[in-house]
Amino acid sequence: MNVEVVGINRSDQSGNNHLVTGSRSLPWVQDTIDADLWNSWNVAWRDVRIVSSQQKLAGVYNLSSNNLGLPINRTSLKNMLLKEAIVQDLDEDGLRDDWEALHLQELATTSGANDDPDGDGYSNFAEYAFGSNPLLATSVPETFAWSRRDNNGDTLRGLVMRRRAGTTVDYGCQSSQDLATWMPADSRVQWVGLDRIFDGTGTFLAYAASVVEPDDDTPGFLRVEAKQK
Amino acid sequence: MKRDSWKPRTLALITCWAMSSLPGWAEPVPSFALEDLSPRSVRYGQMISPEDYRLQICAYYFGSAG
Repeated sequence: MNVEVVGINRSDQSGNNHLVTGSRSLPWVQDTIDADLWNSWNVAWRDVRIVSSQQKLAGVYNLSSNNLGLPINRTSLKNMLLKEAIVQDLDEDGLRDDWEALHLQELATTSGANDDPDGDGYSNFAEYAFGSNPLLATSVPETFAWSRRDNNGDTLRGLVMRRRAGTTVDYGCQSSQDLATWMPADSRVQWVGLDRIFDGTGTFLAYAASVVEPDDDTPGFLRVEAKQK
Repeated sequence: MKRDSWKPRTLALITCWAMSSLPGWAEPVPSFALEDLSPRSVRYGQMISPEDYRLQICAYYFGSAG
């Protein structure tokens, strides 16, 4: 599971944000009197508040009490994050427990990986693997055509889609020239990019593509198959 | 003998009460929407909310820039 970090500045320190943001890529927001995060979250200065995938407080590690300059403290914080990031699938149906709790309100006792509660033609597993909503028929797995010229001047052409990080799903590209016969994509098709997105689906944008030869006008199609690991 | 036997039970109850009274452990964290001020961040200029990080783990660092 992906781990992100966000910094929150104290409301009375708003004039000094540039001291943090000038050299760091850490997302950095400014608490305000209206938002009053420091009080509503009941924090102490230099708290690291670890929030679970279900939006609940999972741990607190204070950096004033625990100097991160010491390896043992870095390991402690890292272990807290890793513990929370472990993917759980107690009912072993291929759907992460937190995803089931969010979308199906329970572990899948009534709606399993192969069921399609919103009747949009996509199973719960497909909606999970490609980051769509299993209870909303208008939200379906999608791929989009994509192309760009890389630094070598080659043209890359392929597809972009949402995918999950981690160990629960295997993604494989398949190629076709007629949309009738699909074969495992050859070695020329590669995953060439991964963008972090923050839309609440817990997925990444993944780019699969192959290099298009300058004189090659053969039609080609790609699709992605997701399998439970 | 009886007095010894109720002591652990009382302590257990107190512990449970103390844990459940800590804000944030059982309920979702309080929401917010604040702009990312860091030009080097991938989210620069966007509004950041805890809901953006649903189904991910997010560590919030409460520091001060000064």
